[in-house]
Amino acid sequence: MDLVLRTVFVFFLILIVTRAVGRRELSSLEPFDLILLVVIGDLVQQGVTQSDYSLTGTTTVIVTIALLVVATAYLSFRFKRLRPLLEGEPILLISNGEVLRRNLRRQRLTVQELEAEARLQAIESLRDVRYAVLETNGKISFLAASGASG
Amino acid sequence: MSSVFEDPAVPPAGRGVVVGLWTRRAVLTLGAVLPVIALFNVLGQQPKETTGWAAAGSVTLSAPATVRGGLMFQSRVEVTAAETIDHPRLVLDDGWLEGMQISSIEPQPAREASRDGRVVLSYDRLRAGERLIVWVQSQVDPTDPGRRRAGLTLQDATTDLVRVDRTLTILP
Repeated sequence: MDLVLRTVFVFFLILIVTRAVGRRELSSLEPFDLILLVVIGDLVQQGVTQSDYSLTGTTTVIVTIALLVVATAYLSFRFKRLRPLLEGEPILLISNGEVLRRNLRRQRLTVQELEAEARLQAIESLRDVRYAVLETNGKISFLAASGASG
Repeated sequence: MSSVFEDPAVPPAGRGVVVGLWTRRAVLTLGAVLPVIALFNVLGQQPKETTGWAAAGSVTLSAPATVRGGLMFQSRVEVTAAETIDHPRLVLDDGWLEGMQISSIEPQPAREASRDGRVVLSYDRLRAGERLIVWVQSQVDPTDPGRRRAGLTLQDATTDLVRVDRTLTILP
């Protein structure tokens, strides 16, 4: 019983922590982000399975996590009001070519990082961007200004 | 371009898609059984109490009946003497030690011995009304699943007084 309860607790703990630290950590693997992800992964194993080396325990934990993932995805799909809580909302970073510095600051993103993301998508300059949106999965999508290439 | 994009008004619900969807749902539903039975302690670790009585006293064994590989668990043996037992001995079935790591037995017995392949723990005299509680801390060897007899017998020297039967299931 405790194995399932520990898995449920840790699942929601990670959900809360990842929502709290912000979404830039979800998609990037900067050194500090890597520390967070690696340490969480290691500690979760210790907390959930503890000294359990059994296939029964492993299967129970995997199935429990899978069910929780499906359940939260379904709740998010079914109830619109839960979506901001479970997944967050897209955040506008550039609107009509203007960099929204306040939104960047809130997500601990610098203009340089935004420019780097733009370059990764073959966009030469932020001036060529009409809209940039920080998606709920931590990735940034760019919509080019009309007439701009890339 | 893939045929999926040819007519967006028609949903791509071919037989394979439908079968795949229902297979996925069936697997998830089947999988849900495991956490549910785990919540009802079918998959182990929850201690179960078994008591044996006789004129000389009673023995209560509190220990999990099902465990999983690697788990640490506690077994608690409580002996209550109704009459004086001069040479109380706990004779353990082989399931107590087969495929187990014993971390500690407290209080430690005055003497340990083997009798007919079973481990015998000898303690000091118990007077009528006295209690002896023995805690055994164990860890399951993950490479040795199966079912074993894990009961015990209380003896006075070599005379059987109380028997507590128990089977221990070790899940893989």
